[in-house]
Amino acid sequence: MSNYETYVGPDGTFPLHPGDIQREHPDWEIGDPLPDGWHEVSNTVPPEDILIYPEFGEGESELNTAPIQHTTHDKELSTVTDGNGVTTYTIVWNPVTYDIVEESPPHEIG
Amino acid sequence: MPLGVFKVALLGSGAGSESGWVVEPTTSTHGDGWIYGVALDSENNVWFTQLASSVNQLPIGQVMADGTAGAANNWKSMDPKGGNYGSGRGVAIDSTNGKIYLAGDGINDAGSQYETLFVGMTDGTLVQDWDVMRAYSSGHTFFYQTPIVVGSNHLGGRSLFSSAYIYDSSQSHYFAVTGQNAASDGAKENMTGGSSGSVIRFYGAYGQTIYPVSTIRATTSSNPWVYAAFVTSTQGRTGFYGCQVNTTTYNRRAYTFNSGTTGSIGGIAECDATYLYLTCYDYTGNTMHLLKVAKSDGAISWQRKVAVTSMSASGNQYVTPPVLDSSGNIYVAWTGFDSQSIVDTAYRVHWMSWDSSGNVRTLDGTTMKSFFCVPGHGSPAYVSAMDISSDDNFIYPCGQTNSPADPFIGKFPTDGTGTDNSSALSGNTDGTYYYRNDIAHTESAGNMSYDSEYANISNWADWNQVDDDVNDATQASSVAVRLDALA
Repeated sequence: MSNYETYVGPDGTFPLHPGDIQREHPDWEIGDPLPDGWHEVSNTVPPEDILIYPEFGEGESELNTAPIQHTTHDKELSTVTDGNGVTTYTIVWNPVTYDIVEESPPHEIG
Repeated sequence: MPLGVFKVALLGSGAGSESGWVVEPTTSTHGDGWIYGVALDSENNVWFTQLASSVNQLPIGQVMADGTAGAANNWKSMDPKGGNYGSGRGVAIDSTNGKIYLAGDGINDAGSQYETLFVGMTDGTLVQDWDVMRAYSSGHTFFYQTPIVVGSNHLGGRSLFSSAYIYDSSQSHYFAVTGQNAASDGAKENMTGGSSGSVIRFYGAYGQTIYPVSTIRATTSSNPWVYAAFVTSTQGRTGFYGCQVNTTTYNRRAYTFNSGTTGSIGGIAECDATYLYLTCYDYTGNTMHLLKVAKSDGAISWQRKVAVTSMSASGNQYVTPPVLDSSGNIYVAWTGFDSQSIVDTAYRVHWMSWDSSGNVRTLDGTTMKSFFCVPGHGSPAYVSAMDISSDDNFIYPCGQTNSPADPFIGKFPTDGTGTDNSSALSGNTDGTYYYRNDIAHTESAGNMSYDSEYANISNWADWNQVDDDVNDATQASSVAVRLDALA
């Protein structure tokens, strides 16, 4: 049991969570066998972000140490069926890199 | 007599309306700014505050349950001492005694540093009971949306719990603080078990701001907790943080969007002893999200999302904190621009409801109701807060409409009635308003991810305080409440 519990529903909906199962099976609890048609998903913990920091040349101010790029991970469901017809469900975390831009003004000064 | 004329005649007599409505509260002293916060008193009268930089005031007003203006003493203009700036951010009402509390922003004498202000008031009394200023000695301090709540403290008394954000030049970012003041006189109190008015300090990396909204006092715990929601300026996190009052027992939990790193936070509400509800908006997916999450470890119990058809990524999508009725049903309002040609392409305010299991509710035949102004294809319309009547019969979203820009408060029946897909509302408002149920959208399982115990949280004691920093209130001038009745 973790705080990343994720499931695939009977109609293939992903991602779903314990409360989604309980919506249809109110007596079900985490640890109970999954109801028919529901599947547990593995590799649910996202990788840590990757931050790219500025490199400073000689004599340049090193005051601003904010990262300039940020790599996060989008999740994708992978299904693999083995020779015995057993299907496993796994999250593949696809890295996506974004430039970090300066933030907008703090809020509406109004 | 045409129906519209009859409604105007009723308004002229001051009779108002006992059913749903939309109002534009106006004065000559508050300006026409965005209504940022609303709270209902025990009679379901609406107290509101609004952005007011055009007049540099802390404004507050009262619209009665029937849509007419409240007593003259309840429409106050309060001038912050010091520099020439003032603006309202949030309002709260103590259900135990009816006292009213305002949270707003001001600026120091030199006009160089923003500060947060609290005002305590009594219904019907013009001059405020007390007022205080809190600020960091070397950084701008602001409130944002839904910053304040009133509830029991750990000693059995009543306190204000509020969240602000403060600029730290050494880190080139704003960090969040959540603190506590006595409801009786505004005195600074220790929230985190430290001294000197200790507060939660919740902060991100260098250059990464954390904006706190939607402070709540959990009511189902015997050991009181206070939580706030947050969104980061970079790296795409939303979530909640908090502490057990008068201790340094903290919690913080973050969530990521399925794709992209930009969005806005709506807020949080307490579901029960175990769970919170959280709302936010994903700018990349153009979807509004509602999540049920565990207080203890952040685990998602269920999550839903709504995609309004042909929604544009304008960056002006706002979401209210979730609001609950006595049966545990959840109500959320949000806004954004869509290019569906329904009367007009428009910035619209939508609302929907779910039951406590996450089933979207069909109300009067449809799932989503939409309020908008025509022509609405130009400037944004906003929604920022919402409350629900004590009988569960009405929700009250607030914000600002466009074309022309006016502050608004809605009183929409929670049974979903009152929409009209054939004609505009009628009455005496400035705007041409529609309240309909035919804006195309889809509602489905959400796709956000629980991330981690994100960012840093600690005890802090430098959200300093000065008493009596707001001039005595004066009555607002030329008070009027323009009203359109729902169908």
